[in-house]
Formats: sequence, structure tokens, C-alpha cells
Amino acid sequence: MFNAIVSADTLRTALDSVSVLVEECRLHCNEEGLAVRAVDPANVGMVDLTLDAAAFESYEADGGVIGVNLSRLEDIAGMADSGGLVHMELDEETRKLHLSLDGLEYTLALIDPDSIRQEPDIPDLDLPARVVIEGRDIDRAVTAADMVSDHIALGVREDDGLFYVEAEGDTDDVHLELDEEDLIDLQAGPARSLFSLDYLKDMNRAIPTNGEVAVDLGEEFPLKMHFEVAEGEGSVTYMLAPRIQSS
Amino acid sequence: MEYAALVDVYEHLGGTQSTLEKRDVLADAFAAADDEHLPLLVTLVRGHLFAAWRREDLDVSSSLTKRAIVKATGVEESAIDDRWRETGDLGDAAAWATENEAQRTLFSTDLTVRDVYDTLRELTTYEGDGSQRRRIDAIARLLSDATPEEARYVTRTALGHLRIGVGDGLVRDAIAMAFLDGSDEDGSGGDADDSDTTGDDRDDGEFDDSDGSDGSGSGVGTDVGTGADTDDADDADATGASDEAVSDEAIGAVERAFQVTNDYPLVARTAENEGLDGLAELGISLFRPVRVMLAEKAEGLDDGIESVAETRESVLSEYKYDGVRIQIHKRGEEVRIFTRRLEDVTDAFPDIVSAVRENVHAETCVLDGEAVGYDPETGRPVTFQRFSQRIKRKYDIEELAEEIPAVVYLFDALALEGDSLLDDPLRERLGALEGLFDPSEGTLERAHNEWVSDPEGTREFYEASLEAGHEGVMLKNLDAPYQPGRRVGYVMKAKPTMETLDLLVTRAQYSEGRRSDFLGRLFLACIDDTGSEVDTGDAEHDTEGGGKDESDERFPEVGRLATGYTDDELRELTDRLEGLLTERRGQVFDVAPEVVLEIEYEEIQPSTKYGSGYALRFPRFLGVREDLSPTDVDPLSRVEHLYDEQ
Repeated sequence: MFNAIVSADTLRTALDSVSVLVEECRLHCNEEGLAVRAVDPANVGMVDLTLDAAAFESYEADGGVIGVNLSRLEDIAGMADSGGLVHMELDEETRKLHLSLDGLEYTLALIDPDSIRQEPDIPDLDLPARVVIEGRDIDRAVTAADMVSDHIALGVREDDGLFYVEAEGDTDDVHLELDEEDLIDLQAGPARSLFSLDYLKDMNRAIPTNGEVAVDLGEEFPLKMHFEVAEGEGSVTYMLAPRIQSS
Repeated sequence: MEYAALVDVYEHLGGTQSTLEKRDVLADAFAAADDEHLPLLVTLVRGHLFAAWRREDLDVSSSLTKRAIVKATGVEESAIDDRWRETGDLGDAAAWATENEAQRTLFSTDLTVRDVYDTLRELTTYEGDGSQRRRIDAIARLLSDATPEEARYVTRTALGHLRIGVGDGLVRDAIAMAFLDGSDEDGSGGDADDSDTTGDDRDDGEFDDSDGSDGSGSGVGTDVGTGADTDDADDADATGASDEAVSDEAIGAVERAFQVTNDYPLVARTAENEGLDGLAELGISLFRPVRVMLAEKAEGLDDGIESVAETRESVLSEYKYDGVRIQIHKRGEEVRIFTRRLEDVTDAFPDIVSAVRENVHAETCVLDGEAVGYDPETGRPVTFQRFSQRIKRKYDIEELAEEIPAVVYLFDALALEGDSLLDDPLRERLGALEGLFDPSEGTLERAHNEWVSDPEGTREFYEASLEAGHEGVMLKNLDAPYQPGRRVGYVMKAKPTMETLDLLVTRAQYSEGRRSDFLGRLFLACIDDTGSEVDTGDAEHDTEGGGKDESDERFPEVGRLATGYTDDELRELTDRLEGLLTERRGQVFDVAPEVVLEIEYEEIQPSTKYGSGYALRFPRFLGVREDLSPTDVDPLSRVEHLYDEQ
């Protein structure tokens, strides 16, 4: 059973965070809320999303799993007016999802969940440094780095108590340093890793610019980014594997 | 089964030139496989994912695969291109990229044979928006879990060319050895005196009908190419080397079962579980195409008559039509039409389907014939080129069917009312054929035929065939059974000499030695009329030519010309070409598409070296076709057709 009403904006935001990595996903309709965990085909990026029942206008579910095509579902949610509501109801018989929004009825064919890649376990990472930063600063860093390079280094200089971003292009370089003043919080530790901007750009699109993001880093280790959506009723965690630093 | 174990088998197969050793490696792998994996292995070792008769196109080009490699490894595309150019093999480039990957992953799981097989097969189900991206993602996922060696073979399998020198003949021998000759376990002792040096180019000949073997022991086999040159066979024949590990009987049984079913997974399972008896029972089955019996080329009319049968009384002469060989399967109202490449073309020929429903009164049957297009106004046959539009057309089929109506000339019956006729002599099969349908002029006819009585009469018949716009005559042994898929000499064809091709010069290279001032090495291309493909990047890179990037996709290459011109002709041609040279890559110059040459050749072979998938053997220069522009050159479909017709 799955029967829920949610604001179209909340639904879109939540789906966006997943669709930057995968086309299709398994939606866990748990009693306490929706949950999605997915990894991109190349095993480089992972997303873990939860949207609490409290984020919905109304929510009923009993733990089933449905497979959805994300871009299709986003397209439908995009049909709603800003501030409009989307009503979703699973037809157990036909295994289709009925959506109604502003009088529009849409029946969405679901995908066999078994045909979608299984959820991975979250790698157990002990990351020594944590930076809590505003979403818009991540956006600035990523946008600037993208002008000069395909990848970006993120690191922490423990002695100076600052978080830095570097991107080196063939001709131009980008550097950004944020000290404790600029950051919401900094737990300094040894950290520097290189990441693909392709992935970070996509993830960045899902990060609210006016929210805060906790970034966990290590030395040549995956990063973890955690932020909240849906006014704190949803949370997104990204993990991203590093690139190999060429010597 | 771990994919790594299969990769070990691939590496072993690719690492030896000895066909006996290859056969032993394959036989061991088949014998060791469990029931689940045996059917997978027998197709995967050929670089395929489906049994021959239901082969589907993965729609995977090299450029798509390259994007998957970039995605999985994080290595820059230009670096992969460099490696590709260097090795001529995207599989090697993938292995290198995996070895030198720039991107770490969050997880890694070991690839299994089942995972690779299922994932790649699933590619055929992706359609419509975003299907390209899903293909890339699926391959990238496999590559990201792959070791360098695994990446090499995942890539090659996705592209359909394994490059390990394994053809149908070897798979056949290995199945026979693994399951039918339990007596001799020590097959590896065979004296490996064979020299299959052409394996790399051969493993793509999926419908290679000239498997130069006579392993069935029937005594009528005719080895096509025993010469040391690149012979025609897709792999050298292990049985040629008096090795006792496999009996001719066993090989013959596997061969026959394969030709009738086109399904090595089925054949392998049957051989394993039911042995020789089970194989013998595998028969023709409705709606599963059988390989067609092929004709040998006669030196001339008289030669044909003499060699096809012992006495003239046993020879039937039939018009040879220039159309599409089709196999018709019928059960009641259900009719399906297959080409000799085993493709189902039913949808393209609604007119033939209704003609069969109307005029064939047998409840179930399998028929062999040639579909020919004709001009409704003159009644004369149209060229194959024009008729082949009928096969490619996806829309407005009815309209085209009116414009180019098809007539089917039936000439054999392979099964009737549940009984196989394959082992019956032609005389009886024709009796059955003539009794099962009512000829209907212009839609469904019996192929025009005549008993060969005196040489004069046959000559007149031959000339009448040419006069009527057909290709020549077929000469058939009335006492012979139907031998699916083989060129056994029960049928001979007599027609005027080999046709030439008009081809475009796409690239050029200076000759060496005496003619080093001349552009004497010219790459020749046809024009791609095969339509639909958006992304025809699957041209394997040409290592010999110093490597190349994407050649012009409109003009897939079919070979390289080096002879046939006089010094004067070559000088003139060089002057002309030098004005057209554009970019240089290594020794090879790109040439602006302008010069069209008339080319003769020995034969057409399947090849992974050129974008067309074919290579001309011994191409020779005949002249410059000043009257033709690049778009007038011969189309790829004609090259394919000529190849089929050989």
C-alpha cells in the first residue's frame, strides 16, 4: 500500500537529488517515509535520500518497494503549479502509480524493482575532517572550477584552520580559501582529495543554495556531503569516490 | 561462474595459433560448464549473445563504447583514442584505461559470466529516448567492476568481435570433443601443425557460409581455400589434421544439428544430455530458420552440368533470379519469412505473406525460394539494389509493395505437414513442392526450370534466362538431399563473369620502392545506404594503415588498392589526388571525396578491418570513372549482396 499527498516542489527537490546519478531507482515506501539509495553505473557516486512522512500532507505506506523511471516522474511533477499538490496512489493490482495533480490524472507504469540495481551498502568511512559550509559557497567553488578544469581538489589546511578548493587548468587556475569565519563549522583534520567535476556539478544542482552542507573529507578518500531538504523533513547524503591524483 | 574464469579461456584461445589447442581449450571449458553456463559459453566464445537464428543487434558502436570506458575509468577520451589508434583495438584500449584508471570507485564487485551476458543482452531491449545513455551506463557499470583483462573482453563482446580466432567450426569440433567422444581424454597431444594466422579477421563471420570444412565425413565436402593465403574459412579446421580425438561422425552430427537449428546452445545441451541420438533427432522446426543450401560456382555451363551430377539425367536446370533468397515457414494462417541471413523480414513483405496464405494449401510447410522485385509496368525484374529497399523499409510498406511488387519463385520444400524433407532427394522434394501450392502468376510461381537433355537445349535455356533479365542458371542434382548451410556441389550456378565495383578513394598513401613518388595505395569505399544507424562508429581501426580516426561515416571502406595501374595511369591519378589531400595521419592522407574508380577483385570477404565489414580480396584498378560522382559509387548493400552471392 502506498497513498500519499505531497507538495510538487518537495517531490521535485527530492527526486532531483537522485536523478543526477541514476535514471531509474527503487523507491522504498516505508511506514516512516520514503527512502532511496542508489549508486551511479560507474560506482563513483552514491545517494541516500530519506523523506519523512512529516514532509507529506498525508502519507500511508507499509514497506513496499516500487521501481520508477525518475525523469518520467519528474516530468509529471513538473506539470503541477508551484505550490500545487501531487497525489500518488499505488494500484496493487496493475502495479501502476496513479498520480493526480490540479485535476490532471496520470497513470505511470512502474518498473520491476528486481530489474533495477540493488542498493549498495554504505561504505564505512572514517573521515577525519568535517566542513560545514553554505550551499552557495559550494556552488561558487564548483562553478569557478568548472571554468578551468574537469576536476577539483578539496582539502583542509589544519594549521591555518581553513578549507580550500583548487582547480588547475591548462592555462588558468582557480583557488578558493574559506577560513573559520567564512564557514559555519570546521573540524580540521588531514584531508585532500581530487574529484570529478562531472559528478560534483550534478550533485551541486541538488544542493539548496540557502542551506548548509556538511562535507566530510579525507586524504585520497571519498567525500560525503550531507544536507537537508523539505524544511528539515528530508535528508540527502552523497558519497563521491575520488579521482586518482596523477603524480 | 566468475567472468575472470571465462577471460582466462579467452586469453588462452587468443594466445595460441594452433586450432587443435584452441579446440581442446574450448572442449575443456564446455565440459566443465554446468547446465546453466554451457549455453552461455557456446555463444560467448564466438563473441555472440544470442543463438544465430535469433541474433539481435546490440546497437553498440565503438564511439558509444568509448564513452562508457571514459565514464567507468575517468581516463580522458583523447588518451583512449591514442591507445586505440596504437593497438587498433578498442578492447586493448579499454584494458589500458582500466589499468590506468583516473577514477576510484566506491565499491567493486566481481563480474560473473551471467551478469555480463544478461547485461549485454538487455541492451537490445532499450528503446527510444535515453536508450543511448542507458546503453553507455550499462557497459560502464560492467567496465567499472572489471579488471583490465575483463574490460578487454567486455568491450570486444559488446562490439561483437572477440579477436581470439574462434569460428563456428571450432565450436562445433569442441562440442563434439567435449560430449561425444568420451573415450579419448587426452586430446591435447595432437600435433598442432596447422597455421591459422587469420583468426583475428575471421571471428566475425557469423553467417560465414564458406566454412571450409568437410568434417562431416560425407565425402562431398569441398574445401574452398586450402591455399596458404587468407583462406575463406572462419577458422582452420581442426579435423584437417588427422587427429583422433574427435571422430568425423561426432563432428558431422554436431554440424548437421547446427545447420538445421542455428542454435549452438541447443546443440551443445543436446549433445551433452542426449548424445548422438539426440542430435540426430534435432530437426527442422517451424518458425526457426534453417541455413539454406548454397550453390557452388561453375566455371561455365558445361562444367556445371558435368560436375553437379554423374549423369545428365540427374540434372535439373533452373533460372537464377537476382533477388532475395527467402525461406517461408507456414502453419495455417501464420506465415513468417526469413532471409538467408536468418533475419525475420515478414513485416516487409505483406504481399508475399498473403500470396502464401492464398496459394499454399499445405497446412504446415517450409519453403525455399527467391523473391524478386519487378516493374509493374514492364513486368521486367528490377535490380537487386532497387528491390532491397523493400527489406529496409519500415514505413509505408504497402505503398512500396505496390511500386515494386515481389514475385516469389519457389524451388524447394524442406518440410511438409510435420515431416522433414531434408534427407529426401530433390526429385521427391520437388514433387512435394509442386503438389502443395497453386502457382499464381506475378506473386507465387515455381522457378522456371527444365530437365537438362542435350547441351544445346541447356545453352538456349541459359540464354533465355539472361534475355529475360535474370542472372543465369542453377544446375541441381535431382538425387541429392538438402544440405543446410553448405556449399556441397549438389547445386551449381552458372552466370556471366564477376561484376566490378565503382568505389570512392577516401585515403591515400605513397607507394614504396620504385613507385614511391606515386600515391599507389588507395583506400576504397562504398556508400552507406543501410540507413537507420545514427552512429556508425563501429569501424574497427585499421592498424595496417597506420591507424585512423573516424573515417567519413557515409563512405565505409571496403579495402585497399595497390595494383592494376600502369605507370602512366598511376602518374595521372597521383597528380589528381595530390590536389585533394587533406589531413595527414601517419603515412596516410585523407582524400577529399571526389575520385571514383572501377575495381575488379577476386572475392569479397568479411572483415573487421574496414568500416563496411567487408574486404575485397586482390582488388585491381580498371579505370577512373569520370562520369560518376561520389554519391554514385556502389552502395554497401550491393557489396553485401555480392558477398552473399559468391
